[in-house]
Amino acid sequence: MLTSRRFDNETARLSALLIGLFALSALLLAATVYWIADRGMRAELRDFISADAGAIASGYRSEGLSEAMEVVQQLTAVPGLSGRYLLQARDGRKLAGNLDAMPARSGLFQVTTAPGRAQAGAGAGTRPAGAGRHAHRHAQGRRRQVVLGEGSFLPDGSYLFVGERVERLVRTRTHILVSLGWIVGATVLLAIAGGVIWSAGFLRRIDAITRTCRAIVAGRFGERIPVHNSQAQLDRLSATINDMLDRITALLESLRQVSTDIAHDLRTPLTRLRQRLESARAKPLGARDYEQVVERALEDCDGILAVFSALLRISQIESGMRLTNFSRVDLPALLRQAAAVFAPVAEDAQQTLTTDLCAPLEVLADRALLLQMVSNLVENAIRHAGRGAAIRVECRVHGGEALVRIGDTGPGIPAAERDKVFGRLYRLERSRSTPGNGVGLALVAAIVKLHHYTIALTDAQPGVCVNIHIPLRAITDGGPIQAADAAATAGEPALIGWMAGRARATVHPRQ
Amino acid sequence: MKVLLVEDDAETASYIAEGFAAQGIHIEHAADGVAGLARARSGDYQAIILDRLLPGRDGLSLLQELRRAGTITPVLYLTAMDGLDDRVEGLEAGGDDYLVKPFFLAELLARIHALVRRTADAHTQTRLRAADIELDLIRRKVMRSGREIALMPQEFRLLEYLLRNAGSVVTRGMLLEHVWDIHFDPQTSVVESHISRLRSKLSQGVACEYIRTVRGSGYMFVAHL
Repeated sequence: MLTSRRFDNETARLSALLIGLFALSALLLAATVYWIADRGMRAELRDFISADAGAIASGYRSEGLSEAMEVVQQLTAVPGLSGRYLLQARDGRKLAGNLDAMPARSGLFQVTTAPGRAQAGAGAGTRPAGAGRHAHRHAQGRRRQVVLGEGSFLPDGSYLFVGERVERLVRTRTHILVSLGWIVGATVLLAIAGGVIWSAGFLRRIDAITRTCRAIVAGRFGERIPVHNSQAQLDRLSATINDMLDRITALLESLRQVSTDIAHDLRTPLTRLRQRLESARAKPLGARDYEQVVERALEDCDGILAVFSALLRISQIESGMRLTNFSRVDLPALLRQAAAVFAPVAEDAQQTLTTDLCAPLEVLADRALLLQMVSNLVENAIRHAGRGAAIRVECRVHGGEALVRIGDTGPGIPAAERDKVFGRLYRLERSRSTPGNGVGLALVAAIVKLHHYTIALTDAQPGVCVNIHIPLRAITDGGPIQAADAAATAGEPALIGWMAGRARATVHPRQ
Repeated sequence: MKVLLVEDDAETASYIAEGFAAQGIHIEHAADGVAGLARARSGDYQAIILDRLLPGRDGLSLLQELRRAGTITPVLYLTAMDGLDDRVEGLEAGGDDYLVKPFFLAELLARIHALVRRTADAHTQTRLRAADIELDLIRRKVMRSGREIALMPQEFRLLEYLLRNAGSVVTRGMLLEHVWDIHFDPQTSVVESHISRLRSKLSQGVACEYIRTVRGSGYMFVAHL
């Protein structure tokens, strides 16, 4: 694939750059070491030379040329000596030393002895070794020897050269160069190996991401990028992509759920509507009957539209689009309002609707949705609790949370079905005959989730009780200050005060 | 009465125009936002029905432009955008009412009537009177033939809304929104229960039906029987 080759090139370039940098730094290091070592050794050599030259010169000063010759002979007598000496007369004749005569020249310079001569002191000519340099056949060396030394003229015009074989220096220098060469080579090799391993690892991770993305594109939404539990950036990226995929999958699932629900549960009323119209067409009917059929058909349409809008609303809430309308809401006041709206309905169904609410308590919520949540629960109780039931709406502060309870004394919900009632379009078998579209509780569940509340059904014996737990702390965080703060932070004494402030009210005692 | 309809769907537009013509209301139709704005500026309309998603210029910005220019003609949105945020946004931009598609003609008619009437009322009234019923809007008291009738606050609001729209149909949706602030479809007969309570309180002793049920649409306060 084009992009992956392009990426390979990128990695190769990056690795090459890295290797180059490594090599360059190793070379710099080697050069520095070499320069410092060479300088040190040369300085040491010069110290030796000037010490020997000083001894010979002081011999000359005290007792003349013969004494100087004596000192040179003594110095050259030491076996295995690396020093090289030459004392020659004004006319170029060698007087003493282990070097052949050479043209006199003062100052520090280097001479090379010619190879192949075994005999020390054998008279042979000098040969030039480069500009101003002189090559000497050396007495003892079979090999060519390089001598570094300093020439000087004694007061009577005779010439003194004191030098030291630089073989050792050269050898040490070579050793340093060779080992530095190895170091540079090893560094470059290590850099290459590291680069290859590193980029292979990197590429493997990138490939894993690419593979996962392709799998998603191919429709396998369950695929996730492996994460190695480290804090590395690639892992963070992988984890973030995984989170994104989870979110997308959840949204997709929700969407799929809605489509399935719509397809499944709207088919029934639509089929019913069609049958009704079909049979109306088949039978000869009077104008009045037609009117009735149309009326029924319109009612069916209304029902279908209501399910539609409820389902859309649920998915809207579930996708979290509605976080913008949060504001401070007085929870007990909202419950009181809902109870007042539905009390006449309950009464018409020969039920009682009572409230037991705490003192004003502000929570951060979407007012319209909260009202709908409470309304749905109250309506649900009214519809399913049956004649003569008592419906209670309660609100109290308990620990760090507000507890809203909506209970009834109806037939209740079998324990096995309690979890299912919050799913979309779920209806208990026996309530299929009562009106309602089955989305009310799913909507409640969606609103509860949006607000980060929790909801639980308990057996009220008889009847069912819906408990909504509203964490007051969670609402306080980042939100405006609320009345519950004092109670939530001050603990029991404040709570007792809150309880004492609870107002007991019966909404519909009339008639 | 003359109403401007800014709507890009020709079928919806003719459905509305026919329905309104049957009620003696003349509809002028503009098919896109630009034409709609031009008409709204030049014409003298009692109300404007505005789609939100329009070619040329969206309804929201059209209305904002109109309100900036000082036009106070009441505007009703007729739109498929049914999120609560959309509603809030629309009303904040200067809209007076919001009806979501799909809609019923009766509902649209009733809302337009209520809008026009609301603008006609000077809203500074302190008393509402119809037949022998009188509402004291300041003391929140209801008198019928000089006798006080005790109403719950919600019943008072319900009666006030019916009286303000006396002679016109008000739908269940309008009542739910304006009286109880409920913006969803209840699953129980909330409106019916409250209306029946209000009826029985109003006709204490004196049998008389001011509040009529209009089948398929809603309710109407009828002062002249």
